[in-house]
Formats: sequence, C-alpha cells, structure tokens
Amino acid sequence: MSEEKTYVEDVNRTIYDVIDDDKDSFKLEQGLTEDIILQLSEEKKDPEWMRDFRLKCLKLYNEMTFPQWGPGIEGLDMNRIYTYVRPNAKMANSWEEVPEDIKNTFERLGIPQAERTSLAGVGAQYDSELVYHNMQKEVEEQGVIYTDFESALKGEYADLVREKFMTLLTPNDHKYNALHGAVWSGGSFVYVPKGVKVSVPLQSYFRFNAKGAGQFEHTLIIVEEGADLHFIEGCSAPKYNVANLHTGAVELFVGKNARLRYSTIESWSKNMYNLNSKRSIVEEGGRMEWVSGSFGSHISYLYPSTILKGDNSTMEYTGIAFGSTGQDLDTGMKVIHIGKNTSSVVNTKSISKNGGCNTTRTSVQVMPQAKGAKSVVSCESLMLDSESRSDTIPVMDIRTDDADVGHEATIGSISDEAVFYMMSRGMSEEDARALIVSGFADNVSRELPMEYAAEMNNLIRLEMKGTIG
Amino acid sequence: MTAEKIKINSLVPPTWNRLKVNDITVELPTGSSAGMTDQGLKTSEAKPADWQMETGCGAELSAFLEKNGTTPVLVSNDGDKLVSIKKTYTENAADILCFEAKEGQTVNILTDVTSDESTEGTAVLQVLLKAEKGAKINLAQVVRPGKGMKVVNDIGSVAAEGAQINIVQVFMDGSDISAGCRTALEGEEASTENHIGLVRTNGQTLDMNYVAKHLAKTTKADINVTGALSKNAQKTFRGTIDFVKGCTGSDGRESENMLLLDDTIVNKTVPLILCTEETVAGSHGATIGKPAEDILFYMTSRGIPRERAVAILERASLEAAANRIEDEEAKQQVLEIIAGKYADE
Amino acid sequence: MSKQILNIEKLCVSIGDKEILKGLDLQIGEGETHVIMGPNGAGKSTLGNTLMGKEEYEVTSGKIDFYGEDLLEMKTDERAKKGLFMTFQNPIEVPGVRLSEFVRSSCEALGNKMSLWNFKKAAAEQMKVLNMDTAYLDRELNVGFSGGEKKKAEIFQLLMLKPKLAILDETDSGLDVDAVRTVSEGVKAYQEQTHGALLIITHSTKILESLDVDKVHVIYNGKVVAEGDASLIDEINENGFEKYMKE
Repeated sequence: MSEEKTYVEDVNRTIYDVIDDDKDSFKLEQGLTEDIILQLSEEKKDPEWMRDFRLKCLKLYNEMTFPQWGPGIEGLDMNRIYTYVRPNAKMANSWEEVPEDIKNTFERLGIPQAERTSLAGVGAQYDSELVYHNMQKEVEEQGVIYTDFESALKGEYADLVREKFMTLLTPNDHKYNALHGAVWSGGSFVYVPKGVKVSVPLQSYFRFNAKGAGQFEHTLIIVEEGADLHFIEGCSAPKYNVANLHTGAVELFVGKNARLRYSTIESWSKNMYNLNSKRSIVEEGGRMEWVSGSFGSHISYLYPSTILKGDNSTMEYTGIAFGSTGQDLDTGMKVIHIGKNTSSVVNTKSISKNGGCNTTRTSVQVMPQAKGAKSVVSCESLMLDSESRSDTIPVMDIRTDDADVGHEATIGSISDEAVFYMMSRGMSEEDARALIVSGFADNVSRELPMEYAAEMNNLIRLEMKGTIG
Repeated sequence: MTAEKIKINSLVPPTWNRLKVNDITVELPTGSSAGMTDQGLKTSEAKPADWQMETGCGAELSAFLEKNGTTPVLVSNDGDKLVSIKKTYTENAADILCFEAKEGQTVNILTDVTSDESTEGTAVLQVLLKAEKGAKINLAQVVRPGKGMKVVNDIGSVAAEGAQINIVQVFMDGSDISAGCRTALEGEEASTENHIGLVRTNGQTLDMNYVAKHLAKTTKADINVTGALSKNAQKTFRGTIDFVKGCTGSDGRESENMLLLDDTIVNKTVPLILCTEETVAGSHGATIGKPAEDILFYMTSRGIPRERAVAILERASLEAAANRIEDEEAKQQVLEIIAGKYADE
Repeated sequence: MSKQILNIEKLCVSIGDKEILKGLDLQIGEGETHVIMGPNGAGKSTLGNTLMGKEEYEVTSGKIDFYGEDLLEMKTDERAKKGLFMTFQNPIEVPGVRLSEFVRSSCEALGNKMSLWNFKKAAAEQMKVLNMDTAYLDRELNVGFSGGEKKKAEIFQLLMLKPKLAILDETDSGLDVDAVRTVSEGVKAYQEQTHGALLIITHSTKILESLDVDKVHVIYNGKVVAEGDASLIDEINENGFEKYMKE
C-alpha cells in the first residue's frame, strides 16, 4: 500500500530507474572543442574521412543557431554534457560474456525475456557503445548484416556505409544533426539483401547510465529490393538530476518494393532532452511503416520524416505521446510526396496530464510531379485535466491538383458518460479512466509485438495511477 | 515616397522555418492617406485608446498605422440598416474603421473595395469591431482590386457575453492580398463565424491569418474556407482555434475545402488548435484536391464543356461563402458581384 | 414474500432545478421480477440512473437500502460490487477498448478473476444463448454496433456479471421482433442461472410476454400511482395510461 502512495507523486519507475555504480572506463572532458573531437575520433579509430567529417560537423554546429520554434531548451548546458562514455566492457558475443552489473540492468528491462521469445538479435547499447551483440543463426544465414556501427565502418560494407552515412540527415539540416555528426558514437547497422524477408523483428535497446552523459548513436538501415524487415528500438534511461541529452540519428533506406517497419517505444527518464532525428527514403513500390510511442523525457523534439521518392511508394505513421508533469513533448511527423501515386496515412494521438505539454507538429508536402498522391492525416488529442496543454500544429503544402489530401484534428476529454458506464460494471473510477486511455492508445499497441504492447500498456497504467484526487 | 517592410500574419506558435508559413513580409508605403472617409459615412473620431485591440495581421501592422498617422474612425450606424461602404481606390490608402454594436443591437456592414486597372499601389483597411452583451455584428467584405493594387485587409474584434460576430469575406482578382482576422470571445456564450470564399489565379496570392480566442465559458467559433486555385496562384491559410484555460464547454471548428485546378499552384494550410482547457471540443477538417471526377462527368454529360464546368465549381466556392451573409441586401449585392465576375468570361 | 433486498422510501430526485421523482416507494424481494411502466417523462429512467448513482441525479430526500445497506453512500462501482446492474438505453461507444477486455476487467472487479482461456469459454457459452458471434469479443466496445447489437451486448454483460438485481432500462425499445425474442431468452437465462431479481423499466410490453412477472408498478409524475400483479400489464395494454394520469 505504501508503494501505491508514491504513485501520486510520481510513477514508480524503480524497474527503470536502477542506477548502477559509475564504472566508466573512460570519460572525456565536458564541453565541445576540436581537441575533444580529435581525441574521440582517435579513440574510436575512425577512418580518415570520418575524422574530417566530424570536424566539418563541429564547425557547422558552432556556426548554426538553435531552432526558434518548439519547446525551450534553456535547461540544457552543452558544456556539461559528456559526449562520450564508454562502458566498462568490450563487445560480447554471448549473454554469458556480458558483465554482471550491466546484465542486471538489462535483466530488469526484460531483454533476455524478449530474446527468449525468439527475437532475432539483440544489439543493446549500454551508454555509448554496444556491449552485447548476438544474432540468431537463422538471420545470419540469410545474409543479413546486423552489427554495431563502429564495426560496420571497417567491415565488408564499409564503402556502402561511407556512401550513405548522413546523406539523408545532412549536417546542414539543423544544429542537432551537425552535433550528431561531430560526436556520434555507437549504434547499429543493418543490411538486408535483395529479396530477404527477415521473419522476426530485430531489436536494439538503448540505455544511458553515466551522469550527464549524452548519447549520440547512429542507426543506418538498408533494406534492398523486395526485402522485408521489422526493426524495434526501445529506449529507457535511469533518472538523474543533471540534464541529459539524446541526439541520435536514424537513416533508413527502403528499396524498390521493400518494406521496413521501424517501431520505437521511448520511456526516457524525465530529465532527458531527446532531440532525435529520423528520416527514411522510399524507392518505387516500397513501404515505410513507423510505430512510435513517446512516454518519457523532459523535452522531446521528434518528427520521423519520410521521403516518398519512388512511384507507388507508401508510408504509414502511427504514433502516441503521453506528456505528464514537467514534460514538454514536441512530436509528430513529416512526409514529402515526390513519386507518382504515392500515399501516406498518418494517425497521431496525444495524451496530456498533470501539467504536461504535448505539441503535435506535422507537415505534408506534395510536389508538383507527385500526380495521384494521397494523404490522410488524423491527429487526436486527449486532455485529462485543465492544468495541461495540447497544441496541434499541422502544415499542408500542396502543389498539384492531382492530389487527394485529407486532414482531421480533434481535441477532447474523457467523457463522464463512459466513466459512469464502466463504473456501473464494477470498475473503480481510476481503472475506468485508465482503461479508456489504453483504448485511446490502442491503435499503437495493436501495431506492436505483444511484449512491447504489454510494456506500453503497463506504462500507461503506471502513468494513470494517482490521477484521481 | 518611402516604404517600410513589416512582418504580418505571424503564426503563434511558429513551426519549421523551411515551410515558410511562420509569417509574411509586406512592403507598405508610408504617408498613405485615408481612403474611406469620402464615402458619405456618418463618422466621428474614435479615441485610439478605446480601440486598442489585437488583430489578425498583428501588432506590427497596428504600429505601422499609428506611425503613419492613420487614426481610427468610428462609423455610426442606423439600427440594423446596412452600412454599405464601397471604394474604388485610385492611390495608396490606409484606413481604420471602427464599428460598435450596443447591447442587444444588430449591425450589418458591407465593405467592397476595388481599384481601376491603371492604379498601382497598396491599400490597407483595418476594421475593428466591438459587440456588447447580446449584440450582433454581421460584416460582409468583398476584396476585388485591380491588377496593380495590393491589399492588406485586417480585422480585430471583441465579443462580450452572448454577442455574435459573423464575418463573410470574398477574395478575388487583384495581385497580392493579405488578410488577417482575430476574434476575442471575451464573454460567456459569445460566438463567431468566419466564411471565406476565395479564387486565385494568374500568379495572384492570398495570405491569411485567422484566430479565434476562446476566453470565456461555452464560447463558439467556426472558421470555414472554400476556394479554388489555378495558374501559379498561391494561397496560405493559417487558422488558429485557441482554447484558453477556463473556457469550459467551448467549441471551436475549422474547415477547409480547396479546389486545386493545375500543378502550378501552391496551396498551404496551417490549421492550429491550441488548448489549455480540458472540457472543450475542437476540430479541424480539410479536403484538398482536384474537382471530383464524377461531378465533372455528370456536368459534361449534360453538355457543359469541361472548362465551363470547372468555372461553375469555382464560382460555387465563392457563393458558398456569400450565401452565409445574413443581411439580405448585402447578400444580394455580393452575389451580384460574383455573378458579374463570371458573366465576363 | 421472499427476503427484501431493495427498499426505496419517499425518494425525491432532481436534475438541476427540476424535480423528477417526488416521493417514490418501491420494495423488491430476492429473485423477484418487477416491472416499472409509465408514460414518457414519468421518471422511469431517472429511477434506474439514480439507483446506479449517476452524478447529475441529485437525491434531495428519501432513502435507498440494498441488502440493508445505504446505497446512497456508495459510489457507482461499489454499487456494482454489491450486485447491482443496469443495462443502458444507449450504451456509450468507447473506441480502442475491446468488449472482451471490458467484460473481463468487470468480472475481475467483481471478484471473478478468470484466465483468458476460461473467460473465452464462459463468454462463448453465454453468447450462444444470445445467438451472438464470438467475433464480437474482439470488437471495440459498442463502437459501430447497431441498436440491436448494443442491447445484446448489454444482456451479454448481464449474463457474465451475474448481479443480484438487474435493472433493464428500456432494453426492448427500438428492437424488431426477433431481437426482442433473443433479448428475452437472455433475460430468462439470467433468471435460470442466477435466480437474480429483475427491475424491468419499459413502456411497451413485448419483452414481458415470456417472463413471469411478480409485480407491476405504474409510475407517473415521479410517484408510484398504481401497483398490481401481472394482470395489470394486460389492463394497460388495453386501456393505456390515461386512467393513471390524473393528478
């Protein structure tokens, strides 16, 4: 019972907020200078081109201004962010080789269980480097490459990686991309050869540990013609009092008639600045599917974007954001229709509670050559009280007559009628409201593998506890 | 003659700069004189202090007008008899017209601005409205300048308890038109409606910023845009429904229905819903695209050439707005103006 | 008479400034079937909603005891836990929540925790009575249900939750003959399975044809104006309510 009481103050995050002893083997000075970048590059044994790339990005980073829109990031002091924290472990090939304290953390996050349910491989990032990497033979035999990013730079596909790296998310795009280009570290590389359908989802679990540690992992996925992949990214981080920063970058290349589903459940601790960039380019007949659940972080800027380049390419985005006390979640998506007969279907939901702020920011662009383009966007917001905030900021920019664009946005609250109905069947008010909110989020949980859907519902239930006064 | 560049129609809060929808820069000539006061109106000087209110175009425009020496003029009304203001601009002009509806009163206004084909310049018309308790203001506006005349058409309005402010606007012809409108629903049960009909073609532009601010309980706002774009025309519509904390039971809607007639056009729509109150209902819906093939097929099957059928649909989008004018006399006048435009073709 | 389970004395209920029930008395014994009849606006549905504890219905005076406990002191969910149930005239649509999830959560709240397997088995059995496809279990709660489907889903919940007293609020309104028959079958099954009491609120009598009615109460203008046995139904069928509608 006493544990129940703490829910009122804050969600019980004990399973997420486990902080292990600070055992970092190597920590750079705080702040960002050319020396630091060179030191980082040397430590990571970068190829020469990468070292030069980092320096170019650093220069851009120092020249560019912060965005003038979105939530304030005044609380983020870049000089206090450690850019690189390497865990006290080298790469491991099997679970047994993973150090005990790191293993404990993962176990609390449920990774081994997830693997037991036949997930194909685990590339779990502990702080800034992959410490554990395991892939099922089945997937390897299909010719699928799933590796940490540092190895990818030196491996069989080094040239391909060099050709694609930060070409979708260019350092000129915005200040945080430039920052990422300068200090990126760790991440995953996935290559699915032509025609290969990966039957089980690949998943990576990112996690921070050291105080003030930034995390700048890079994910590059190439799905060749006719291939099929589901990649799951799950994030959680323990709680600290020092501002933490996450500026990851995800670049996705979806080949002709290929399909990529990219699912994310983020439950960062509530002091995290999550300034993440994700972009996908889709060739002819290809399909990109995004599933996104944002629960944690103090500030989020997150808008997965899709370039529908090839004719008949399609995109579907399903997302939910849950903002509570002290959270300002600026989330949404962007899509650019270029190819003929391209289509996008977007479904976003947001839930605002206990003073939390949600902004749903979307943009749909249809270029003149995108004849026959179709886009349907639906944004729904749920306000759980009048202390919270929920803004919807969509932009549609249509440049052809031969497009069919629909947009719907609604805002509302839980109906008393529905709560009464459920209570008349014996549910407490708290349970009734929680069930209604889970129902609101059902479109996302339905798209997730069962264990992730269960985790998400668990997060919602935890968030909903203690909302009745 | 000198000119000043100012930013108007700012989106609050702003979004990605890359999309170029956060505001628009207009160049306004300084030293413009009032253009409306020669229209035989019964007017009196309005105290600027009484008429300080936010407008759709925003503070930079109001500051510019003040610096320019444009003073607000209070237009008197004769009960619910239509106040009809028609102006053919022949030079740069800047006006601030104020209207008030006293408790329980209904005021009907029509403004119709045009210009000779030979006139080049910029006209600014700012209309400020105050509706007292239970009062109603019906404002109809036609903006149809000649090719050389740029127009900035701005509205600011305040509605007290139970008051209604209904605005119908038709935008056609001219070159670059900017339009702003902001309604503050300050009293309980206050309501506002905007019905906008627009046709832009041949490189014409229209940049709009419409804001309904729900400041009291059970207020209602409804913003509707219908229109058609062709031949390098560009249109940006920003619409903001803003639910301020405490406006319980309020309802705000925006809808847009745009016909796009070729692939040289740029149609931007930015429909914001801002909310800091739990028990409100807000919604936005947009349908954007080419005319439905089955409608065109139906019309051509009756012998109407395709181009004519498209023109009929274009005209219908203007009439959809005009038909919402409450005052019968004003409605007929606006419908005639629309009919006149399509009679030429 | 069997053991009394519900005792309503001099109940006055208002919505806003309007008084709807004006001193209503009603007693129900264990396992009994009672019918409330009356013209539109007599206060029939107000009685059901008040028993269930809906917020807008303000009890200004009088008392309601259920199994000797003061019902008015209880929240809606506590009333349900005590064994009270009401079918809704217009059950609300709740997007995203599956019927199965909802009913299983309700069963659990009422102390009948079932494994998914057992729940599905029990649900399939009851759905058979109602001629309902088990595919409904995966449908979103009442979303897109037709009038008849909604009523069936309500009776399905009645069969699953097995209350001690079920209030059927206009369950037969807007249904065709076949649907009324199915709903009656469901109600009969409830009586047979649980021997629970029924309070049937209705202004028509179709649903009553196949049920054994113990007592009929006619209410008008917020009060019980006539009471009798099942023969009162036939009498009203023939002569209507006019006779009772005098002040």
